[in-house]
Amino acid sequence: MRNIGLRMGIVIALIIIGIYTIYPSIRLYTAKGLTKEEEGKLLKRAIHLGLDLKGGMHLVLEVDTTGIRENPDKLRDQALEIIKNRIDEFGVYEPTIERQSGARILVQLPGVDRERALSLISRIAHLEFKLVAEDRVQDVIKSVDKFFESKDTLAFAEPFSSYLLGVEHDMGIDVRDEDSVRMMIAQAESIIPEDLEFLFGPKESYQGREVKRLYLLKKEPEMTGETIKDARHAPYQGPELQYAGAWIVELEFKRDAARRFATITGRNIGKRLAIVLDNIVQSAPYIKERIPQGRAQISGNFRAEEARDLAIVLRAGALPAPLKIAEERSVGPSLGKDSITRGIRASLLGALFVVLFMLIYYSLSGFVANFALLLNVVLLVGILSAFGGTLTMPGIAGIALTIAMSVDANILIFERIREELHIGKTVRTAIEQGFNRAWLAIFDSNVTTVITGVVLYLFGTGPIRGFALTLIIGLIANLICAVFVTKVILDYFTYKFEITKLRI
Amino acid sequence: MELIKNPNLPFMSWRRYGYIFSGGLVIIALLLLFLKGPKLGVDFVGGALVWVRFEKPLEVSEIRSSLAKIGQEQASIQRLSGTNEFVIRSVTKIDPDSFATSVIRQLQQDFVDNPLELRSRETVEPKISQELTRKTIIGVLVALFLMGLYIWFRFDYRFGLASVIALFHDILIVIGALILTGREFTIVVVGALLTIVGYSINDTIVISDRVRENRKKMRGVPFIELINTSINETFSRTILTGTFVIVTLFCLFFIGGPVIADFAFALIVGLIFGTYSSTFVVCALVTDWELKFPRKKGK
Repeated sequence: MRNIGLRMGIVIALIIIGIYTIYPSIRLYTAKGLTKEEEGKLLKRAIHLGLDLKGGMHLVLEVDTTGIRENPDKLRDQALEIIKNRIDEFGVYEPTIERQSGARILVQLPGVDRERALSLISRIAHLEFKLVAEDRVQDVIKSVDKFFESKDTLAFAEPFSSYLLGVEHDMGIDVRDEDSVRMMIAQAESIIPEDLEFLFGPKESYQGREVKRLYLLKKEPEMTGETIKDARHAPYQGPELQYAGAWIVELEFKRDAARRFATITGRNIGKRLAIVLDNIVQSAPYIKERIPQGRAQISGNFRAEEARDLAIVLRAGALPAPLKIAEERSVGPSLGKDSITRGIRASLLGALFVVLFMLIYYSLSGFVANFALLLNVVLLVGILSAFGGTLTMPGIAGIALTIAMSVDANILIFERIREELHIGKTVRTAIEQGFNRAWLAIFDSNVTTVITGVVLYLFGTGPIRGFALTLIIGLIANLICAVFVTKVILDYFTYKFEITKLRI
Repeated sequence: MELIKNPNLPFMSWRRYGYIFSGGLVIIALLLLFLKGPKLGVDFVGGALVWVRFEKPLEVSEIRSSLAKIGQEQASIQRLSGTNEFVIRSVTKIDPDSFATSVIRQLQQDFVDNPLELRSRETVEPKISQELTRKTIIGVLVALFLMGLYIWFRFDYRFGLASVIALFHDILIVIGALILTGREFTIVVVGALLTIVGYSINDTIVISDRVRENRKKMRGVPFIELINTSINETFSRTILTGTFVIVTLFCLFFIGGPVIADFAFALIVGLIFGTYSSTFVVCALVTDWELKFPRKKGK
């Protein structure tokens, strides 16, 4: 028997490679109480779970360039940089952030809370400091009222001022009236002085109703978010009861901005300075004195995580343009877990059937085929792990399909060996001929599937790529295991024990 | 053990029934395709899919009346059998993202004492879906071209042409079955269709290889008998492998959960007909071709 020792050596080497490459994956997903450091180390050599199994979001964001004259690709690159910084600081494990053509950005975040991640990514975070025009409010309201009186429109039966309520020491509106009030403000644009604007605060409840505060501000900001050096979240410790227990964001200005802030505050003592984030007035504290240290804070009844996220986006800077969700595929964590359990259960049941049947149908030779099958799966998952491949739900189906299809090779071979034995060949010749004759058909059938796999990989997206990858690697492993390994083992035993009757 | 011992079934005498059966199915599939049309998923037409799970039982009608309040009663609402899970789809062209958001918000508002959990959410802008469609069509064409090239290179031209006809036969029947059962065409389902193409050719190769081999061995034997012998000799392999694959797919179909069910369904139908067509389409056509236009001897 030619080179039987060498060939047996290769089989043993394959077994060792399989176990070595699959081990990190098995340890990572079954061991409990791993430290973060161990996990990170294992993850480098383990199979990754796709978003459909782990839960998470796949987003394609498009830079909304309406009304912006800048080059969309440049805006996209700026936005991408900022999103990257925000996600880095937020601390997502293994995010994917890539630029795509057509001013688009691909963002993949495994295992995050959808709403929170979305507000972190897509919030523009344009911060402005604007003075409140308290001394001119009464005049403006009066002139707006007069404007609608004279216009004789049926749309608004009530005058503008009748929508206004007192919210503590501010004015505000009921949120149910928001649409009407916004429409009135838009229509009365010509009446409102050019250097002023109305802006709303966030929604809050006040004396049992949902309200928003309404402010009249100077349009020209005194300062903007670009002057910020650092932002941190901290618990509120001031005297105002409405913020008790809430969190704030502390801002620190850059050097020359700090000087400017000191001048502004010094010049406007007794007035109010509104802190406006994405056109919503977060708060509008009174300036009690000149603030020389270059520090300010945003208070607005934030929960701890809200304040933390806000600090992150302020540090990372504002997006150059709004982002639109062009494509989203989010999977909740529970669905991902269900998919893994179900996929594995289905695959195991299918595999169990195949293994039992092979054993009954081909007896000892079936046992050899089953061993090759096991090695096939181990190598498939091992190679996927070693190359940092991703396992998806269709990928699990691909593994199940590989199991079923890889026995095809052994069936072709064994049926052929039986035929040869029927016509009275010796065991050794039957094995030799069986393998030789079946080889071409096996190789061919694998080529067609590899073609499918490669095309699916090149043109497919996300989950289907996982399927393609398992199919391709599975077939290569199959050629090695079902043909080579089975042959070596059969040869070895027939040689070693001088078998004259093959149990097949 | 041996289940199928030296079978000797006259497959080719049955080929007329095969033609009637296949022709009938293909006509039904074509009618379904052109009269009813495929139900395209959000991947290809754009739109939104919201999949939610409620804590307590709920009826589709209750969800529909809740969605009616935001003018979305025409959305498709599907209950996953035996669960409190619902899949709500809409092929809205305008702003799928806000559709999804407003659906979730409305359901949360209307069923305050029956909290819901978001299982999955997909939104695809029409612009993106057009690109996905284009990419998928190119992918399918490239795959078919490569397969064709391979068939041309690998088979003699009669088997080659017949197996291309069989491929269209298989795919049409799967498409028909998908339309009939109201399943959606998604990228994953298209992936299943391509896998079927691979398997179907694979199955034909095994038989055609046997025919080529037997042609040398069995000179002077009538062609129809040559084909029958070849099919019979590979029959136990066909049945065994087919059974393994189908059983595995049934496991995926019944246990794998809704994410993979449509994929497994397409594969099951495709593999059954891919196996069937190797004999009753490819071999049958090649047989009739030979009987009408016999090849010169020695070729």
